[in-house]
Amino acid sequence: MTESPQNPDSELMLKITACQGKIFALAISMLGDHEAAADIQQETNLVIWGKAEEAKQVGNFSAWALKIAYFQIKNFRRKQQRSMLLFDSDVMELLAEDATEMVSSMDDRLNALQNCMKCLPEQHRQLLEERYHHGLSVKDIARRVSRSANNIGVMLFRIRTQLHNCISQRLRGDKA
Amino acid sequence: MSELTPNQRECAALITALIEAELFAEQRDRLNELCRQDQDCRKLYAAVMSVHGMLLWSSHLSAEQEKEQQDESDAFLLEIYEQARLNRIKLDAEVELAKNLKAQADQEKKRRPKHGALVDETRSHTLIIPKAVVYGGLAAAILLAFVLLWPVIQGAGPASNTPGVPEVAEAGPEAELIRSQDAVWGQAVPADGVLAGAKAWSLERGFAEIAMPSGASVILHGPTTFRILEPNKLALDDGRLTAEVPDRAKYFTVKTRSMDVVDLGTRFGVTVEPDGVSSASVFEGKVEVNEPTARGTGAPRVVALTAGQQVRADASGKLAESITAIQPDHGYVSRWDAIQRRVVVQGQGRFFNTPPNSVRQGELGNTNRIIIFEESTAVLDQPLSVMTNLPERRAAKFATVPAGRKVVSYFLHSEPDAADDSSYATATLTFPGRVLGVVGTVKQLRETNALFGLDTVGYTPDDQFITYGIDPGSPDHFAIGGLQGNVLTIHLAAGRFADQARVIVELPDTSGDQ
Repeated sequence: MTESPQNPDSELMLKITACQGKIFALAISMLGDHEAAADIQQETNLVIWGKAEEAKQVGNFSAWALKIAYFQIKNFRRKQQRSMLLFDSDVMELLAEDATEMVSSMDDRLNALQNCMKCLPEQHRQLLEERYHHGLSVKDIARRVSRSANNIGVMLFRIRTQLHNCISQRLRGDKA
Repeated sequence: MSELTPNQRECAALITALIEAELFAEQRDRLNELCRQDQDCRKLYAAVMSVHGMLLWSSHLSAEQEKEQQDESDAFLLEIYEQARLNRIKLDAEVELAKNLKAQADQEKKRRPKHGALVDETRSHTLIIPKAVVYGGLAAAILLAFVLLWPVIQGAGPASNTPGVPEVAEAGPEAELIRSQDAVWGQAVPADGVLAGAKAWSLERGFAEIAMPSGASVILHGPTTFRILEPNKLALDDGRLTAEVPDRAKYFTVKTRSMDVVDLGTRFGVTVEPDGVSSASVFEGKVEVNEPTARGTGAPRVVALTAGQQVRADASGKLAESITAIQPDHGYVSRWDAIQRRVVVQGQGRFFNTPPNSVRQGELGNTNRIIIFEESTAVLDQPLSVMTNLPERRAAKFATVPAGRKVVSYFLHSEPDAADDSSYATATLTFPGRVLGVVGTVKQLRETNALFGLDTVGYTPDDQFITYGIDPGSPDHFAIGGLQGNVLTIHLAAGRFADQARVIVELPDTSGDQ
């Protein structure tokens, strides 16, 4: 006799919850807009829930959910005025490949991110803390530390690229 | 970063602007083009946006938990800081206190179990400490130490050793000129609006708003002279100012010849008259007014002022014995909104000077808030029919505004979260002129009258959501709580479609466009 499975709906809910970050990250890469990404996330969840039976059958739930998210992104774009879109369709298609690849491995990347952040200088960690955790704008941070907004923006960009390089190295190391 | 190609450098700048929501249309087109042509730019975009997305997501996950603890710790910090200052504890003692608290906090942190009640193991019996106190104490200690040691941290902080990141010389504190009205300055103001802290700035007439590095906002009334002393301290040599201080800039200090005014979470005004007499007036919250320590006539007095109170100090720095009520004609511009003819918001409303570029469903993330912004100022090209349904009336009030009337339209948008009308947002809005009426329609608001819309705003473009304006006849999603002259109270409820409304306000004849 097999072990009693979890409630299928609960199981689906867990799967949906587990891929929320990936859906959000894909949407923000494609649209560049925090609020729009949150909308896409919600709409994708609704679609997945509406396809509950199909969702329970798919082998790679995460990849399937990301496909739905990508479809929602394209659907969202169709409803927007051209002037409000970040990228043309052809450019978005080009970007989608890299973005999807990165998002697919987001669980590993998030783990690596935590470790990479520990290697940052304290000053840089504080900057990320203010920007992301406290939600301060670059201008707010610049006022606080009496530097120019441009200077803070450049620093943040470099920190992000350093983190990306660190994450990539760690992931390569894990695979080796 | 030195390995970046010119295209990548440009791409990097554009991505940064995008992340900071400062990407203009031309820049967006350029980023589009670079990503189309240059694979390296695409790689860079994917890399940076991937990290950006993960950082956003990580912060999102911990935000709600942190918020709960932060609320507790903020209140605790304010309490101990006020107590310390009102008891005249000197700075050395405060630093010592901060160090002790930090040490205690570190010890508590080591002992603290992850969940449940907290146990003091140093006692022979079990002592249950409320979590709020310990968490509050921890955060308070760290924050207090940060506040008190900030000058030390700034002066002696370790230099960045990250390759490729240029060091920026630490300059004195600078304030940023945010906006001005009819301003005439006594000296040239830099084009970037950065007011250096080393000099005295003279605003000969008009109004100017500056942002302190700490986040405090100061409206200066010309004629006035002031100096930026520290990131959170300003000297008012003469003239008048109004300060609005967010939580993060608490203890913002205005120093005059005869008093120091220390913010304790508030909105207040300070005046220095030509004869050296100073006065402080509190509009909201609380401030502490100190006699200058240099008076040399015994222990300096300290007075705590609350909303509606005022105190004066003579030119020698002696505080008046009595605290008086603020006079109705006090002359302070209490909000920039008032001089810009903007709406003043109370309740769950939030006024945006610059509207979001979209007001689509979900804009507010299902919170009980209303966003409000000014759409357009126009002269009516045809008569406008308006109707309102006031609570004291059984039927809607109909009125017609004649053509040629100068009006301004305001947009209201809300997304309370509930399946029915049980959740709603309420705001009392004071407009710069008489509310003529409200627009009711089943069309998109943009379609009600081209005069009122704003080109940069998308008015719920999704066809599946019918956008209502204020619908006085059948209050599907809103109700007017009161309308008296230029003051409107409105409730926007959940459980319906897009909760959006437009208010039409008559501009006073004497007002000109800004």
